[in-house]
Amino acid sequence: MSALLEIENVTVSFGRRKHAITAVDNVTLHVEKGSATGIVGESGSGKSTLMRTVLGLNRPQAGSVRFRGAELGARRDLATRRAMQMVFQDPGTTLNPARTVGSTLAEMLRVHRVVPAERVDARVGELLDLVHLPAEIREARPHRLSGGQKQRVAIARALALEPELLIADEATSALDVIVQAGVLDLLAELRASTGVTLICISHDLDLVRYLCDTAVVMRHGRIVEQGPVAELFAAPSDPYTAELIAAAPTLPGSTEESVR
Amino acid sequence: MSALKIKGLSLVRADGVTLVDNVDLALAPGETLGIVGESGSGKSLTLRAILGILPAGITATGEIACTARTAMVFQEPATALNPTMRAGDLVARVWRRHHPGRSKADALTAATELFEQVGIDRAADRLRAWPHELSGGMRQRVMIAAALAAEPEVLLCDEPTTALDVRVQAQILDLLRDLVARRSMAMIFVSHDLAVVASVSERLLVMRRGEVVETGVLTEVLAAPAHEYTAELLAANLGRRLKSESRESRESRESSESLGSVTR
Repeated sequence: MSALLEIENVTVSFGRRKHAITAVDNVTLHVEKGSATGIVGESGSGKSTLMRTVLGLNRPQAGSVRFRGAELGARRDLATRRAMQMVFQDPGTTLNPARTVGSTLAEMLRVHRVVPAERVDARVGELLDLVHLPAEIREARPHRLSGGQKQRVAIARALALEPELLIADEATSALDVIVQAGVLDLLAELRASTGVTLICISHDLDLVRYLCDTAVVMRHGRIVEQGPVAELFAAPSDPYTAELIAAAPTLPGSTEESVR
Repeated sequence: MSALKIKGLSLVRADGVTLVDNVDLALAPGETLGIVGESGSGKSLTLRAILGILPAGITATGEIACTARTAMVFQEPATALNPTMRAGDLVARVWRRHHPGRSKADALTAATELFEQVGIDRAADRLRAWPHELSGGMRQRVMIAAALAAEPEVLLCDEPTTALDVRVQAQILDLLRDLVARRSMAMIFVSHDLAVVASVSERLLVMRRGEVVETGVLTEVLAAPAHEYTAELLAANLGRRLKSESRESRESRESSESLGSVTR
Protein backbone atom coordinates (compact mmCIF):
# COMPACT_ATOMS: atom_id res chain seq x y z
CA MET A 1 0.00 0.00 0.00
CA SER A 2 1.20 3.50 -0.74
CA ALA A 3 0.04 6.85 0.51
CA LEU A 4 -2.32 8.55 -1.93
CA LEU A 5 -2.51 11.70 0.12
CA GLU A 6 0.19 13.08 2.39
CA ILE A 7 -0.62 16.08 4.53
CA GLU A 8 2.56 17.33 6.21
CA ASN A 9 2.58 19.88 9.04
CA VAL A 10 -0.28 21.89 7.58
CA THR A 11 -1.41 25.02 9.39
CA VAL A 12 -4.37 27.12 8.25
CA SER A 13 -5.44 30.31 9.96
CA PHE A 14 -8.05 32.93 9.23
CA GLY A 15 -8.10 36.62 10.04
CA ARG A 16 -4.99 38.60 10.78
CA ARG A 17 -2.69 39.44 13.67
CA LYS A 18 -4.61 39.84 16.92
CA HIS A 19 -7.82 38.35 15.57
CA ALA A 20 -6.23 35.39 13.83
CA ILE A 21 -7.84 32.02 14.46
CA THR A 22 -5.79 28.91 13.80
CA ALA A 23 -8.32 26.50 12.34
CA VAL A 24 -5.81 23.76 11.51
CA ASP A 25 -2.70 23.57 13.65
CA ASN A 26 0.33 21.67 12.35
CA VAL A 27 -1.54 18.58 11.15
CA THR A 28 0.17 15.59 9.58
CA LEU A 29 -1.98 12.86 8.09
CA HIS A 30 -1.30 10.14 5.54
CA VAL A 31 -4.12 8.44 3.68
CA GLU A 32 -3.46 5.09 2.00
CA LYS A 33 -4.77 4.32 -1.44
CA GLY A 34 -8.05 2.43 -1.29
CA SER A 35 -8.59 3.08 2.41
CA ALA A 36 -11.55 4.70 4.14
CA THR A 37 -10.60 7.32 6.70
CA GLY A 38 -13.07 8.93 9.07
CA ILE A 39 -12.32 12.33 10.57
CA VAL A 40 -14.39 13.06 13.66
CA GLY A 41 -14.57 16.13 15.85
CA GLU A 42 -16.99 18.71 17.17
CA SER A 43 -17.91 21.88 15.33
CA GLY A 44 -14.91 24.14 15.02
CA SER A 45 -12.38 21.31 15.33
CA GLY A 46 -10.96 22.07 11.89
CA LYS A 47 -11.99 18.88 10.10
CA SER A 48 -13.74 20.60 7.20
CA THR A 49 -11.03 23.27 6.87
CA LEU A 50 -8.39 20.55 6.61
CA MET A 51 -10.22 18.85 3.75
CA ARG A 52 -10.98 22.14 2.02
CA THR A 53 -7.24 22.79 2.11
CA VAL A 54 -6.57 19.43 0.47
CA LEU A 55 -8.97 20.42 -2.31
CA GLY A 56 -7.28 23.81 -2.71
CA LEU A 57 -10.25 25.82 -1.43
CA ASN A 58 -8.15 27.23 1.44
CA ARG A 59 -4.48 28.13 1.27
CA PRO A 60 -2.32 26.76 4.09
CA GLN A 61 -0.02 29.19 5.92
CA ALA A 62 2.50 26.42 6.43
CA GLY A 63 3.07 22.81 5.45
CA SER A 64 2.49 20.87 2.28
CA VAL A 65 -0.06 18.56 0.68
CA ARG A 66 1.19 15.79 -1.61
CA PHE A 67 -1.14 13.81 -3.81
CA ARG A 68 0.09 10.75 -5.71
CA GLY A 69 3.56 11.76 -4.58
CA ALA A 70 3.48 15.23 -6.15
CA GLU A 71 3.23 18.43 -4.16
CA LEU A 72 0.04 20.42 -4.74
CA GLY A 73 0.32 24.16 -5.18
CA ALA A 74 -2.30 26.88 -5.17
CA ARG A 75 -2.99 26.44 -8.87
CA ARG A 76 -3.94 22.97 -9.95
CA ASP A 77 -4.42 21.46 -13.37
CA LEU A 78 -7.67 19.94 -14.50
CA ALA A 79 -6.43 16.37 -14.02
CA THR A 80 -5.62 16.97 -10.33
CA ARG A 81 -8.91 18.71 -9.68
CA ARG A 82 -10.69 15.84 -11.36
CA ALA A 83 -8.93 13.25 -9.22
CA MET A 84 -10.33 14.65 -5.94
CA GLN A 85 -14.03 15.19 -5.50
CA MET A 86 -16.11 16.27 -2.56
CA VAL A 87 -19.71 15.60 -1.57
CA PHE A 88 -21.09 18.32 0.70
CA GLN A 89 -23.57 18.26 3.56
CA ASP A 90 -26.56 19.94 2.03
CA PRO A 91 -27.46 18.53 -1.39
CA GLY A 92 -30.22 21.15 -1.68
CA THR A 93 -27.70 23.95 -2.10
CA THR A 94 -24.96 22.19 -4.09
CA LEU A 95 -27.07 21.17 -7.08
CA ASN A 96 -27.91 23.73 -9.75
CA PRO A 97 -31.67 24.25 -9.40
CA ALA A 98 -32.06 25.27 -13.04
CA ARG A 99 -30.52 22.14 -14.53
CA THR A 100 -32.01 18.70 -14.89
CA VAL A 101 -30.15 15.84 -13.24
CA GLY A 102 -29.14 14.55 -16.68
CA SER A 103 -27.64 17.85 -17.79
CA THR A 104 -25.77 18.31 -14.47
CA LEU A 105 -24.06 14.96 -14.96
CA ALA A 106 -23.53 15.46 -18.71
CA GLU A 107 -21.86 18.83 -18.09
CA MET A 108 -19.22 17.22 -15.88
CA LEU A 109 -18.52 14.53 -18.47
CA ARG A 110 -18.16 17.12 -21.25
CA VAL A 111 -16.03 19.70 -19.38
CA HIS A 112 -13.56 17.08 -18.24
CA ARG A 113 -13.84 15.06 -21.49
CA VAL A 114 -14.29 11.91 -19.48
CA VAL A 115 -15.92 10.03 -22.35
CA PRO A 116 -16.23 10.78 -26.10
CA ALA A 117 -19.18 13.11 -26.92
CA GLU A 118 -21.27 10.30 -28.38
CA ARG A 119 -20.88 8.27 -25.17
CA VAL A 120 -22.03 11.05 -22.77
CA ASP A 121 -25.68 10.08 -22.87
CA ALA A 122 -25.01 6.43 -22.17
CA ARG A 123 -22.56 7.26 -19.38
CA VAL A 124 -25.18 9.43 -17.62
CA GLY A 125 -27.43 6.38 -17.60
CA GLU A 126 -24.65 4.23 -16.14
CA LEU A 127 -23.94 6.77 -13.40
CA LEU A 128 -27.58 6.94 -12.33
CA ASP A 129 -27.58 3.17 -12.27
CA LEU A 130 -24.43 3.15 -10.14
CA VAL A 131 -26.10 5.21 -7.40
CA HIS A 132 -29.36 3.25 -7.71
CA LEU A 133 -31.51 6.04 -9.10
CA PRO A 134 -34.23 5.29 -11.66
CA ALA A 135 -33.51 6.37 -15.27
CA GLU A 136 -36.56 8.71 -15.34
CA ILE A 137 -34.86 10.99 -12.84
CA ARG A 138 -32.61 12.26 -15.62
CA GLU A 139 -35.31 14.70 -16.72
CA ALA A 140 -36.10 15.95 -13.20
CA ARG A 141 -34.85 19.17 -11.65
CA PRO A 142 -33.53 19.12 -8.05
CA HIS A 143 -36.70 20.55 -6.46
CA ARG A 144 -38.58 17.43 -7.51
CA LEU A 145 -36.17 15.14 -5.68
CA SER A 146 -36.11 14.00 -2.07
CA GLY A 147 -33.07 14.75 0.13
CA GLY A 148 -31.70 11.24 -0.31
CA GLN A 149 -32.14 11.35 -4.09
CA LYS A 150 -30.37 14.72 -4.27
CA GLN A 151 -27.44 13.35 -2.30
CA ARG A 152 -27.26 10.36 -4.64
CA VAL A 153 -27.14 12.78 -7.59
CA ALA A 154 -24.33 14.69 -5.85
CA ILE A 155 -22.44 11.41 -5.39
CA ALA A 156 -23.03 10.47 -9.04
CA ARG A 157 -21.73 13.89 -10.08
CA ALA A 158 -18.55 13.35 -8.06
CA LEU A 159 -18.11 9.84 -9.45
CA ALA A 160 -18.66 11.06 -13.03
CA LEU A 161 -15.04 12.23 -12.95
CA GLU A 162 -13.79 8.83 -11.79
CA PRO A 163 -11.90 10.41 -8.87
CA GLU A 164 -9.21 8.59 -6.92
CA LEU A 165 -10.22 10.40 -3.75
CA LEU A 166 -13.78 11.04 -2.65
CA ILE A 167 -14.31 13.31 0.35
CA ALA A 168 -17.73 13.21 2.01
CA ASP A 169 -18.21 16.20 4.33
CA GLU A 170 -21.11 15.35 6.66
CA ALA A 171 -22.73 13.94 3.52
CA THR A 172 -25.55 12.23 5.39
CA SER A 173 -26.11 14.64 8.31
CA ALA A 174 -29.06 16.38 6.69
CA LEU A 175 -30.82 13.12 5.84
CA ASP A 176 -33.42 11.14 7.75
CA VAL A 177 -31.98 8.11 9.49
CA ILE A 178 -33.35 5.44 7.14
CA VAL A 179 -32.22 7.42 4.09
CA GLN A 180 -28.84 7.96 5.74
CA ALA A 181 -28.35 4.22 6.16
CA GLY A 182 -29.07 3.75 2.44
CA VAL A 183 -26.52 6.40 1.38
CA LEU A 184 -23.86 4.93 3.72
CA ASP A 185 -24.40 1.49 2.24
CA LEU A 186 -24.05 3.06 -1.22
CA LEU A 187 -20.70 4.65 -0.28
CA ALA A 188 -19.42 1.33 1.08
CA GLU A 189 -20.54 -0.44 -2.09
CA LEU A 190 -18.93 2.18 -4.37
CA ARG A 191 -15.68 1.93 -2.47
CA ALA A 192 -15.65 -1.82 -3.03
CA SER A 193 -16.64 -1.64 -6.71
CA THR A 194 -14.56 1.35 -7.87
CA GLY A 195 -11.64 1.17 -5.43
CA VAL A 196 -12.03 4.88 -4.67
CA THR A 197 -10.22 6.17 -1.58
CA LEU A 198 -12.73 7.59 0.87
CA ILE A 199 -12.43 10.30 3.50
CA CYS A 200 -15.54 10.91 5.59
CA ILE A 201 -15.88 13.95 7.80
CA SER A 202 -18.48 13.42 10.47
CA HIS A 203 -19.46 14.28 14.01
CA ASP A 204 -21.04 10.82 14.23
CA LEU A 205 -18.69 8.21 15.67
CA ASP A 206 -20.96 5.31 14.76
CA LEU A 207 -20.87 6.41 11.12
CA VAL A 208 -17.08 6.29 11.11
CA ARG A 209 -17.08 2.90 12.80
CA TYR A 210 -19.56 1.65 10.25
CA LEU A 211 -17.91 2.94 7.09
CA CYS A 212 -14.21 3.47 7.74
CA ASP A 213 -11.12 1.48 8.65
CA THR A 214 -9.06 4.35 10.05
CA ALA A 215 -10.34 6.99 12.45
CA VAL A 216 -8.83 10.41 13.09
CA VAL A 217 -10.03 12.49 16.04
CA MET A 218 -9.57 16.26 15.79
CA ARG A 219 -9.93 18.94 18.44
CA HIS A 220 -9.06 22.65 18.33
CA GLY A 221 -7.36 22.19 14.95
CA ARG A 222 -5.12 19.35 16.04
CA ILE A 223 -5.22 15.60 15.66
CA VAL A 224 -5.53 14.16 19.16
CA GLU A 225 -5.59 10.53 18.13
CA GLN A 226 -5.60 8.32 15.05
CA GLY A 227 -5.58 4.62 14.42
CA PRO A 228 -7.47 1.60 13.13
CA VAL A 229 -11.18 2.00 13.91
CA ALA A 230 -11.48 -1.22 15.91
CA GLU A 231 -8.54 -0.37 18.18
CA LEU A 232 -9.39 3.30 18.63
CA PHE A 233 -12.95 2.59 19.71
CA ALA A 234 -12.11 -0.41 21.87
CA ALA A 235 -9.27 1.33 23.71
CA PRO A 236 -9.01 5.08 23.10
CA SER A 237 -5.67 6.37 24.33
CA ASP A 238 -6.69 10.03 24.50
CA PRO A 239 -9.15 11.15 27.20
CA TYR A 240 -10.97 13.40 24.72
CA THR A 241 -11.65 10.44 22.41
CA ALA A 242 -12.95 8.47 25.38
CA GLU A 243 -15.21 11.38 26.31
CA LEU A 244 -16.63 11.57 22.79
CA ILE A 245 -17.32 7.84 22.72
CA ALA A 246 -19.03 7.98 26.12
CA ALA A 247 -21.18 10.97 25.11
CA ALA A 248 -22.64 9.34 21.99
CA PRO A 249 -26.21 8.25 22.69
CA THR A 250 -26.79 4.55 22.20
CA LEU A 251 -29.95 2.52 22.00
CA PRO A 252 -30.47 0.04 24.80
CA GLY A 253 -29.22 -3.25 23.40
CA SER A 254 -26.85 -1.68 20.87
CA THR A 255 -23.72 -2.08 22.94
CA GLU A 256 -22.28 -5.33 24.22
CA GLU A 257 -22.90 -4.51 27.87
CA SER A 258 -26.49 -3.37 27.22
CA VAL A 259 -27.35 -0.12 29.01
CA ARG A 260 -29.89 -0.27 31.86
CA MET B 1 -55.94 11.04 35.63
CA SER B 2 -53.76 12.42 32.93
CA ALA B 3 -51.92 15.70 32.70
CA LEU B 4 -52.48 15.90 29.01
CA LYS B 5 -54.84 14.12 26.69
CA ILE B 6 -55.16 14.48 22.94
CA LYS B 7 -57.98 12.82 21.04
CA GLY B 8 -58.31 12.73 17.27
CA LEU B 9 -56.02 15.70 16.61
CA SER B 10 -55.81 16.58 12.93
CA LEU B 11 -53.93 19.52 11.46
CA VAL B 12 -54.80 20.64 7.96
CA ARG B 13 -52.99 23.24 5.88
CA ALA B 14 -54.95 25.93 4.00
CA ASP B 15 -54.48 24.08 0.68
CA GLY B 16 -56.15 20.98 2.14
CA VAL B 17 -53.01 18.93 2.83
CA THR B 18 -53.30 16.94 6.06
CA LEU B 19 -50.13 17.33 8.15
CA VAL B 20 -51.23 15.50 11.27
CA ASP B 21 -53.89 12.85 11.02
CA ASN B 22 -56.05 11.69 13.91
CA VAL B 23 -53.41 11.57 16.63
CA ASP B 24 -54.28 10.23 20.08
CA LEU B 25 -51.92 10.77 22.98
CA ALA B 26 -52.11 10.63 26.76
CA LEU B 27 -49.53 11.70 29.29
CA ALA B 28 -49.74 10.83 32.98
CA PRO B 29 -48.31 13.24 35.58
CA GLY B 30 -44.57 12.70 35.92
CA GLU B 31 -44.37 10.51 32.84
CA THR B 32 -41.78 10.90 30.10
CA LEU B 33 -42.89 10.31 26.52
CA GLY B 34 -40.57 10.32 23.51
CA ILE B 35 -41.87 11.07 20.03
CA VAL B 36 -39.65 9.92 17.19
CA GLY B 37 -40.17 10.42 13.47
CA GLU B 38 -38.55 11.75 10.30
CA SER B 39 -38.77 15.31 9.07
CA GLY B 40 -42.35 15.98 8.01
CA SER B 41 -43.83 13.34 10.28
CA GLY B 42 -45.80 15.96 12.23
CA LYS B 43 -44.03 15.54 15.57
CA SER B 44 -43.13 19.21 16.07
CA LEU B 45 -46.55 20.41 14.88
CA THR B 46 -48.20 18.16 17.44
CA LEU B 47 -46.18 19.86 20.20
CA ARG B 48 -47.04 23.28 18.85
CA ALA B 49 -50.73 22.37 18.77
CA ILE B 50 -50.54 21.54 22.49
CA LEU B 51 -49.19 25.01 23.25
CA GLY B 52 -51.53 26.66 20.75
CA ILE B 53 -48.70 28.19 18.74
CA LEU B 54 -49.39 26.66 15.33
CA PRO B 55 -48.06 28.54 12.30
CA ALA B 56 -50.65 30.66 10.49
CA GLY B 57 -52.94 28.90 8.04
CA ILE B 58 -53.10 25.56 9.84
CA THR B 59 -56.49 24.45 11.12
CA ALA B 60 -56.69 22.09 14.07
CA THR B 61 -59.56 19.74 14.77
CA GLY B 62 -59.97 17.26 17.61
CA GLU B 63 -59.62 17.58 21.34
CA ILE B 64 -56.69 18.71 23.41
CA ALA B 65 -57.39 18.49 27.12
CA CYS B 66 -54.52 19.93 29.09
CA THR B 67 -55.00 20.72 32.76
CA ALA B 68 -51.30 21.02 33.46
CA ARG B 69 -49.04 24.05 33.11
CA THR B 70 -46.79 23.57 30.08
CA ALA B 71 -43.57 25.12 28.82
CA MET B 72 -41.49 24.40 25.76
CA VAL B 73 -37.79 24.22 24.87
CA PHE B 74 -37.01 24.72 21.20
CA GLN B 75 -34.36 23.31 18.88
CA GLU B 76 -32.35 26.41 18.14
CA PRO B 77 -31.54 28.43 21.27
CA ALA B 78 -29.79 31.10 19.19
CA THR B 79 -33.05 32.11 17.53
CA ALA B 80 -35.34 31.37 20.48
CA LEU B 81 -33.52 33.84 22.75
CA ASN B 82 -34.13 37.56 22.43
CA PRO B 83 -30.75 38.98 21.33
CA THR B 84 -31.48 42.38 22.90
CA MET B 85 -32.25 41.00 26.33
CA ARG B 86 -29.79 39.86 28.99
CA ALA B 87 -30.13 36.15 29.78
CA GLY B 88 -31.15 36.79 33.40
CA ASP B 89 -33.73 39.43 32.48
CA LEU B 90 -35.37 37.01 30.08
CA VAL B 91 -35.72 34.32 32.75
CA ALA B 92 -36.82 36.90 35.34
CA ARG B 93 -39.49 38.25 33.02
CA VAL B 94 -40.97 34.78 32.45
CA TRP B 95 -40.90 34.17 36.20
CA ARG B 96 -42.73 37.43 36.96
CA ARG B 97 -45.45 36.63 34.47
CA HIS B 98 -46.13 33.45 36.37
CA HIS B 99 -45.76 35.06 39.79
CA PRO B 100 -47.84 38.23 39.53
CA GLY B 101 -47.35 40.86 42.20
CA ARG B 102 -43.76 39.86 43.00
CA SER B 103 -40.92 42.35 42.74
CA LYS B 104 -38.18 42.55 40.16
CA ALA B 105 -35.62 41.75 42.82
CA ASP B 106 -37.49 38.55 43.74
CA ALA B 107 -37.53 37.62 40.06
CA LEU B 108 -33.77 38.09 39.75
CA THR B 109 -33.19 35.97 42.84
CA ALA B 110 -35.42 33.28 41.34
CA ALA B 111 -33.53 33.55 38.03
CA THR B 112 -30.22 33.02 39.84
CA GLU B 113 -31.60 29.90 41.50
CA LEU B 114 -32.90 28.62 38.17
CA PHE B 115 -29.51 29.24 36.54
CA GLU B 116 -27.93 27.17 39.30
CA GLN B 117 -30.48 24.42 38.83
CA VAL B 118 -29.70 24.10 35.13
CA GLY B 119 -25.98 23.92 35.83
CA ILE B 120 -24.85 27.39 34.79
CA ASP B 121 -21.78 28.10 36.91
CA ARG B 122 -21.12 31.63 38.19
CA ALA B 123 -24.90 32.04 37.92
CA ALA B 124 -25.03 35.52 39.43
CA ASP B 125 -22.52 36.84 36.84
CA ARG B 126 -24.16 35.07 33.95
CA LEU B 127 -27.49 36.84 34.61
CA ARG B 128 -25.95 39.89 32.95
CA ALA B 129 -24.71 38.00 29.85
CA TRP B 130 -26.10 38.70 26.41
CA PRO B 131 -27.17 35.66 24.38
CA HIS B 132 -24.33 36.16 21.87
CA GLU B 133 -21.78 35.85 24.68
CA LEU B 134 -22.97 32.35 25.54
CA SER B 135 -22.08 29.04 23.89
CA GLY B 136 -24.77 26.88 22.27
CA GLY B 137 -24.99 24.62 25.31
CA MET B 138 -25.22 27.58 27.71
CA ARG B 139 -27.94 29.19 25.60
CA GLN B 140 -29.95 25.98 25.72
CA ARG B 141 -29.52 25.92 29.54
CA VAL B 142 -30.89 29.49 29.65
CA MET B 143 -33.87 28.36 27.55
CA ILE B 144 -34.49 25.49 29.94
CA ALA B 145 -34.24 27.88 32.90
CA ALA B 146 -36.80 30.16 31.21
CA ALA B 147 -39.11 27.20 30.67
CA LEU B 148 -38.72 26.16 34.33
CA ALA B 149 -39.57 29.72 35.45
CA ALA B 150 -43.15 28.95 34.45
CA GLU B 151 -43.07 26.01 36.89
CA PRO B 152 -44.40 23.63 34.28
CA GLU B 153 -45.97 20.31 35.13
CA VAL B 154 -45.35 19.25 31.56
CA LEU B 155 -42.14 20.19 29.76
CA LEU B 156 -42.27 20.01 25.97
CA CYS B 157 -38.91 19.58 24.23
CA ASP B 158 -38.63 19.99 20.47
CA GLU B 159 -35.25 18.58 19.36
CA PRO B 160 -33.48 20.56 22.11
CA THR B 161 -30.11 18.91 21.47
CA THR B 162 -30.06 18.59 17.68
CA ALA B 163 -28.02 21.77 17.15
CA LEU B 164 -25.47 20.85 19.83
CA ASP B 165 -22.19 18.95 19.77
CA VAL B 166 -22.32 15.42 21.09
CA ARG B 167 -20.66 16.11 24.47
CA VAL B 168 -22.92 19.11 25.11
CA GLN B 169 -25.89 17.02 24.03
CA ALA B 170 -25.00 14.41 26.64
CA GLN B 171 -24.87 17.11 29.35
CA ILE B 172 -28.26 18.57 28.38
CA LEU B 173 -29.85 15.10 28.29
CA ASP B 174 -28.44 14.39 31.77
CA LEU B 175 -29.82 17.73 32.98
CA LEU B 176 -33.31 17.03 31.59
CA ARG B 177 -33.38 13.54 33.10
CA ASP B 178 -32.34 15.00 36.44
CA LEU B 179 -34.86 17.88 36.37
CA VAL B 180 -37.73 15.60 35.43
CA ALA B 181 -36.93 13.30 38.34
CA ARG B 182 -36.33 16.11 40.86
CA ARG B 183 -39.42 18.16 40.02
CA SER B 184 -41.57 15.13 39.12
CA MET B 185 -42.42 16.89 35.86
CA ALA B 186 -43.91 15.11 32.90
CA MET B 187 -42.00 15.55 29.65
CA ILE B 188 -42.61 15.06 25.95
CA PHE B 189 -39.32 14.86 24.08
CA VAL B 190 -39.39 15.06 20.29
CA SER B 191 -36.44 14.07 18.12
CA HIS B 192 -35.56 12.37 14.85
CA ASP B 193 -32.83 10.48 16.72
CA LEU B 194 -34.17 7.31 18.27
CA ALA B 195 -31.12 6.84 20.51
CA VAL B 196 -31.53 10.35 21.95
CA VAL B 197 -35.26 9.88 22.53
CA ALA B 198 -34.66 6.49 24.13
CA SER B 199 -32.20 7.94 26.62
CA VAL B 200 -34.82 10.21 28.26
CA SER B 201 -38.17 8.43 27.77
CA GLU B 202 -40.21 5.74 29.48
CA ARG B 203 -42.78 5.54 26.74
CA LEU B 204 -42.27 5.85 22.98
CA LEU B 205 -44.54 7.10 20.23
CA VAL B 206 -43.49 6.63 16.61
CA MET B 207 -44.89 9.03 14.00
CA ARG B 208 -44.78 8.84 10.24
CA ARG B 209 -46.41 11.15 7.70
CA GLY B 210 -48.67 12.69 10.32
CA GLU B 211 -49.87 9.44 11.81
CA VAL B 212 -49.01 7.53 14.95
CA VAL B 213 -47.76 4.16 13.76
CA GLU B 214 -46.85 2.68 17.13
CA THR B 215 -46.87 3.54 20.80
CA GLY B 216 -45.88 1.64 23.93
CA VAL B 217 -43.38 1.17 26.72
CA LEU B 218 -39.96 2.09 25.33
CA THR B 219 -38.13 -1.10 26.20
CA GLU B 220 -40.95 -3.25 24.83
CA VAL B 221 -41.17 -1.35 21.55
CA LEU B 222 -37.40 -1.56 21.07
CA ALA B 223 -37.32 -5.27 21.91
CA ALA B 224 -40.25 -6.19 19.68
CA PRO B 225 -41.46 -3.44 17.31
CA ALA B 226 -45.01 -4.13 16.16
CA HIS B 227 -44.93 -1.87 13.10
CA GLU B 228 -42.56 -2.44 10.19
CA TYR B 229 -41.63 1.25 10.11
CA THR B 230 -40.39 1.07 13.71
CA ALA B 231 -38.42 -2.03 12.75
CA GLU B 232 -36.93 -0.08 9.81
CA LEU B 233 -35.92 2.79 12.12
CA LEU B 234 -34.24 0.32 14.45
CA ALA B 235 -32.48 -1.41 11.57
CA ALA B 236 -31.13 1.94 10.34
CA ASN B 237 -29.51 2.65 13.73
CA LEU B 238 -25.78 2.33 13.13
CA GLY B 239 -25.03 1.26 16.69
CA ARG B 240 -27.30 -1.75 16.26
CA ARG B 241 -25.85 -2.53 12.84
CA LEU B 242 -22.36 -2.47 14.26
CA LYS B 243 -23.33 -4.84 17.00
CA SER B 244 -24.91 -7.38 14.66
CA GLU B 245 -21.99 -6.98 12.26
CA SER B 246 -19.36 -7.52 14.93
CA ARG B 247 -21.19 -10.65 15.96
CA GLU B 248 -21.25 -11.86 12.35
CA SER B 249 -17.61 -11.04 11.75
CA ARG B 250 -16.63 -12.74 14.98
CA GLU B 251 -18.50 -15.83 13.88
CA SER B 252 -16.97 -15.78 10.41
CA ARG B 253 -13.53 -15.23 11.89
CA GLU B 254 -14.00 -18.18 14.17
CA SER B 255 -14.92 -20.37 11.21
CA SER B 256 -12.24 -19.20 8.77
CA GLU B 257 -9.51 -17.92 11.07
CA SER B 258 -8.04 -14.42 10.78
CA LEU B 259 -8.37 -12.56 7.48
CA GLY B 260 -5.23 -10.50 8.06
CA SER B 261 -4.74 -7.48 10.18
CA VAL B 262 -5.71 -3.93 9.38
CA THR B 263 -2.84 -2.14 7.64
CA ARG B 264 -1.93 1.37 8.60
